[in-house]
Amino acid sequence: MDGDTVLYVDNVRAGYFVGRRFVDAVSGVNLKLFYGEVFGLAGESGCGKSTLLRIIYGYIEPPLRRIGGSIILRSKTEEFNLHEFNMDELKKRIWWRYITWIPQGAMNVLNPTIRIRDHFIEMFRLYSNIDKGEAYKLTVEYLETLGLSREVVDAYPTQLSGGMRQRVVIALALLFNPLLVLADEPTSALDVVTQKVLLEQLLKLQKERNFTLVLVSHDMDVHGVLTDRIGIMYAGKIVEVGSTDKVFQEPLHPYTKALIEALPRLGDKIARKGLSGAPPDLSNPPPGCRFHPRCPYAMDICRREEPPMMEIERSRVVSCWLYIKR
Amino acid sequence: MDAPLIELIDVSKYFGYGIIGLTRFPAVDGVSLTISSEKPEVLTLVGESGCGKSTLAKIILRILRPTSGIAKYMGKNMWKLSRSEVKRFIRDVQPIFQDPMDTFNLFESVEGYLINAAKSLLKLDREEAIEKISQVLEFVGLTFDKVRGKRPQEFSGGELQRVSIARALLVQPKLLIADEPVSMLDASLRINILNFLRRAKEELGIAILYITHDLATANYIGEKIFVMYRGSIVEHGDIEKVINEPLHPYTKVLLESLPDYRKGKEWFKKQLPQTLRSVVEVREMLLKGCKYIYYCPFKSQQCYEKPIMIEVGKEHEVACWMYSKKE
Repeated sequence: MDGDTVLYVDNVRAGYFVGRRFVDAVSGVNLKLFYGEVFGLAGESGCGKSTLLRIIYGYIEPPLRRIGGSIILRSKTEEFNLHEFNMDELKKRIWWRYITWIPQGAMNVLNPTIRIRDHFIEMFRLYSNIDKGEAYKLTVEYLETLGLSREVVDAYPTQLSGGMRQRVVIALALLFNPLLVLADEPTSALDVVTQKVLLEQLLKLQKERNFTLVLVSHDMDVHGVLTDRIGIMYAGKIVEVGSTDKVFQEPLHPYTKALIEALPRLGDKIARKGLSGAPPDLSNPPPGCRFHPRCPYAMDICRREEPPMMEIERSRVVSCWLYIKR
Repeated sequence: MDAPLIELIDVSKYFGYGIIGLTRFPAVDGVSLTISSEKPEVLTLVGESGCGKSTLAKIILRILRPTSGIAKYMGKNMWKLSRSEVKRFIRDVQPIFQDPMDTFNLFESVEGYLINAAKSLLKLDREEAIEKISQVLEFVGLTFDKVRGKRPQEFSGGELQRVSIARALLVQPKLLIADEPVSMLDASLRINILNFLRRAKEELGIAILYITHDLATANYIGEKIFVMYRGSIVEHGDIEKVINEPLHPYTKVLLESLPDYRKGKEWFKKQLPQTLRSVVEVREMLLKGCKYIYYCPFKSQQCYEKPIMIEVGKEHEVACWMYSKKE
């Protein structure tokens, strides 16, 4: 284990038990996250990226279940085997202090009957031993450093726009200076103009406080401008990991290639081709490589055997038979 | 020259808000536009959520009656058509919706729906209807056998959206109104749907109004662009021209805030030329003058008056006072 890794995800398997079926949403995922990086998880809807995030956080409720694998969180001084913790322990020891999770649509989770400041005061009182007056003072100071005005502090959630509520949620998530922030589609419900302002702030905070940010988004352009490294997920598996620049410049996995080539660009009208077919049903995934039914380069072996994760060059991993010499 | 297929003249639509809805705001405010079927084009209507673009689509589809102004079909007021003209209108102007599940009845097979539609609108018997349906399904890369016996929920989103394009093409329309047809689909499937729309225009000569919040896809298939902000059209013209040289301050901000992976982290370096204030949207909608005034860094006293459309080039108009002085 090297020194600058904050999270190890090793062969994690998880999925949903629905009736007699098992939806294999996270199927043997390996991942390493480093201190102070912005890591993007990209992929289409239903590929398991949100499930993976939830599993890392440990908020696991039926029908979701983790079947195997280990998740290890390392701070500078401590090490936690998160997979051995149950939800109560996680709540007491890990959540908010070490890891926070901004679930999808988080801007709608604020309690509409209490003011914004009361959300923070409540958090302070739950997680540190200070009285109400002091908590209030800290809240106002804290929100001011994040550029949220007094008007916002005293408002009720419904009085704020979506973008402002999302900023409040991010402020809540960063309250106790966590090591790792998991953000699930933080801007997908916002307009592009609001999105830009929010992403700017998120990146600024990330630089200042140097936490590790995991960003889940289906929007490849957001990954392209925000993340340092990116992991591409397809049908419950991570198929490619690499630095964002490299992955965009020279995608290796055929799925990544298709995903990037299918993006229409401003100021260019060249006809583009999308992928044929649709992602597989995860309760009955295809054998071998899960991408093979849609892959233009599919070979015999792809239909039979699952490709292993191969390190092509330093910190550039791909899971595809095209890159394996036999 | 014949009257254009669709013509809107200073159309507004007011909705009530507040507890009993007595106070009203304009969701669409004084929009004029013309869609001709002689030279079919792909027009795109771009704006943020809540800017009134779907309301405008519903006005063009004759679902909503404008509060003021006239919506014309073939030179006649849409709401004063005879019954046979209404039938003609329905055949000529066809919608494609955001969620294909909305298009189809969940309790009816897709095949049955298509056959009934073909029978009643085109006056065909069953055999002819199936032949016609096979043709349009082929156009979107499907076959009748693939559709047979299936209910809407048994299709994937991309497939069902293709069926709904086929459904719209069935009656040989002159205009398709596609309201966010790809925003529910994944990136790798999105482009296929856009390609079908493109082909519909090129091969079948159908004009298309493509409504979206996504400038990149608009640029991909569009020829003209209408930029909408809080109910009004602020700029329109040839899409390449508008994207390369946006004139309205809002169009500029919209273009610059579009993330683009090619720019990487450089994207953040450019600050938006926009002042930030938290304003309630309804209040903006109610403004008498320019609705962008709270954000605009170039505002002047004149902006409290409603800006008129100013022609700045061939078929390029912008609703901003900045461009009125240059004459």
